[in-house]
Amino acid sequence: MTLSDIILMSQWFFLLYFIGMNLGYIMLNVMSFFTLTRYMQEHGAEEGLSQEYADLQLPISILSPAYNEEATVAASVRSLLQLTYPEYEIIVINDGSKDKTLEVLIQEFSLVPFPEAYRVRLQTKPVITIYQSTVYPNLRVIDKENGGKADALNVGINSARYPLFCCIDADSILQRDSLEKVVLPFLEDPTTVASGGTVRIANGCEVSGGFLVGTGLPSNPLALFQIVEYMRAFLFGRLGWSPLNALLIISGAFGVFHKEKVISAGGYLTNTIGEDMELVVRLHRHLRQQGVPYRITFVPDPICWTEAPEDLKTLKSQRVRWQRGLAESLAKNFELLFNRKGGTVGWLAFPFMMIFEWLGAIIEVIGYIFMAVAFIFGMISGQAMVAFLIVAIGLGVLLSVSAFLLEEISFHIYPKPKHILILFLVAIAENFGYRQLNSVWRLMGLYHWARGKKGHWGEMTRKASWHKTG
Amino acid sequence: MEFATSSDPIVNLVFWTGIAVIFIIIFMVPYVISLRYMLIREERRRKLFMDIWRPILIRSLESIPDVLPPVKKKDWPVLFNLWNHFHESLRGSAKDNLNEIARKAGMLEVAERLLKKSKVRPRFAAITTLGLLREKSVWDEIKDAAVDDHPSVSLAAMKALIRIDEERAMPFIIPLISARTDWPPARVANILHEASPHVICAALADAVLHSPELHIPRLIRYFETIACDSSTVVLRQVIEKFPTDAVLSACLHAFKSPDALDIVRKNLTHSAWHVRVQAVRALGRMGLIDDKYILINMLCDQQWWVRYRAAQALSSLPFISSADLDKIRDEQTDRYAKDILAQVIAEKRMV
Repeated sequence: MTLSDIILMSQWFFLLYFIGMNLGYIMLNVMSFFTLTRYMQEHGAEEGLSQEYADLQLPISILSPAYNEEATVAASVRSLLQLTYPEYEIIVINDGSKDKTLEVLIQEFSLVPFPEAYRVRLQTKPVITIYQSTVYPNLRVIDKENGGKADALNVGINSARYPLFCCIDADSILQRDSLEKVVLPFLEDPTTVASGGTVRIANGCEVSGGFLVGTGLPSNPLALFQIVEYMRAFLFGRLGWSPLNALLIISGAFGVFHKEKVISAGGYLTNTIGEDMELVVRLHRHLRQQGVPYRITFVPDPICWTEAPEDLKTLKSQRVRWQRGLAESLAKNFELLFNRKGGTVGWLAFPFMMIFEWLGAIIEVIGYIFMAVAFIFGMISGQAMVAFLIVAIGLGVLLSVSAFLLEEISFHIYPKPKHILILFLVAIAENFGYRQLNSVWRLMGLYHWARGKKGHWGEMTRKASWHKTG
Repeated sequence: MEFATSSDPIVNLVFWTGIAVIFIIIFMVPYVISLRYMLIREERRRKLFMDIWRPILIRSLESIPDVLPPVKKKDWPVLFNLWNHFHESLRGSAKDNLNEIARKAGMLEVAERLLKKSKVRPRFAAITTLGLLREKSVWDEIKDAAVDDHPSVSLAAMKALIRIDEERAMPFIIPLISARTDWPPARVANILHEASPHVICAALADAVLHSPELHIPRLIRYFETIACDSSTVVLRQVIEKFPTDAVLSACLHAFKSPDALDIVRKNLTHSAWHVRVQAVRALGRMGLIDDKYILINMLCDQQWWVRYRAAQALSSLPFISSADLDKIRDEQTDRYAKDILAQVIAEKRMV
């Protein structure tokens, strides 16, 4: 085999990979278009009429793990206490914080030790003390030894009193009606075991009293890039899989789960960094193997807002962690791949995720290097280089623009036409450096996974400007 | 152009794909922006329309205007939503004037036309309006809509049928709520509340006794939310007919009268823990003074939920004081019983 044969074969490989990936995303886009149109028809039709579910909503336990969150924990809990949902409890799990998280909670919410007959249904690190607020009957705080986020969530599940639990990041910003929206799938289909909502970027938005009161775009370019990314990820990356019951990710920032189903699947895994995705993949695997009818659903309404990192260091750390989490989640549930009982998730979503999201980082980085090296050494013509660039950037922008279209037929988050134009320019600009950087970070995530480096709480530099207002 | 003559088929394919993609983008971006401008225009028009019609609907509660402003074709959905929303928020005779306005504005004729549309939104709005107007002339059309595949449409139709003629609706609706597993039970229960209790109780009792076993627990839940007087008698018959764990649990959950205490006590030792939980809860709702000893024994059950509900039941008995609870806790030799009672006592003191 000559060098030119190898180059030709490589060209075909990268081209076919590229076509496969983009065809997949385009199919997801089409699926999302129909799902979203139907969703808007159904839910828009009853807008303004009486709340049909008002008296019969299922009670929810909100689990909020906290680790070294002394600066923001009180504001987060206060905003959770203002949700409009009829019956819910808040369980804050202090995972052995080294700062004054517990002291702040005790002081702000008048906590006293509570003699709870704590039930160990999932094995966890020891619980030190359970506190109950004397001001808010639906607020408890569990102080435990440090064991990581997943361990903290398992403690919360052990202590939860209600049939559904909602896991939420301490820095998530909800809307007052977020719980009502995310719990709807459980009311509409009793086989629902998990439901996740759309997470959007809060940077540039106006937040008051812990709630989002106005939307806008940030000036930081990294945050702008992430807005476009989140739109793509949630509006078709997840929504497209939901009607096929093949959704593999529910964001740890905001998701609701059927408690007993999660316990019977073994709860959150403590030796993974992507415990949120791993749980969802494992739920699919367990329920498929048992032949139990179930649904894991995605709610397209933007119901949770989060602060995006605005500096490269934090963003890199987040992306490396995400990629490791993805690799761990898929590797630990490999049996689902092409399993006889795997259904759409085992035969379509899992392989797609494996080829284009898990291994994609390797192929993309090799692809970039191959093209650059081949071009420099004259193995690929200038024509070929330009053609590949046009199609790569074009398809990237096309996917972003189709996400804008989905946004436009549904929620219109950003109020001004100017915002769409800015986001369009961002969708072009992200192709020149940002996407490539992301691929490199994802590759680093894979490397960390392959080395089996130990996971830890994802610490992030947050500005949390909303905690200062309202 | 170089590419047009390029001999490499891959490069050619890639290049022309890229060009096609760029053309699609060039088409899509102005389209998305134009959608936004259309939305802004639509919102303005909607607001103007609402500014005219909202005061008319509010004033109509006192008197009906002689002349109503004409409604353009694209404004009908806005009027339907506004009118439905107003109507649902009113009580009593205030609705009569609103009905009069609807008829005068021609909403009835338009609603009949919208019923035939295939889109969910207009059909839903039309069915809701016709139900609120209690319009008998479209009974058959709404009945057809009640078997529609789309749950929003079929549930709206079921609600409308009950509003139009509840007695006539029951023989049709009750078999439907057994069969339609895609209807969310919470919504069905809420809609059933639209009917008079005596009408719905009789129909549900009949359905509970004559439906296949699979549907019984769901029907019992509806039966329970309506709070029918005859429920104990009917539930006893159901338990005799279908003595399964699921039916037993549902019945124990639904019992409200001390007449059922014999069944409740009998099931406190049932092998399925979810049946014991419901039995303990039922005993807490309607137990007598001597039942406290049974509940104290249940504090040692092997299942946490049974122990917890037994402790809650014990603490809710009207003849047990806080001091009694403390005494019971101190007397327990079983650690689990002691712990669970300590928790429930603390919970009670927090409230």
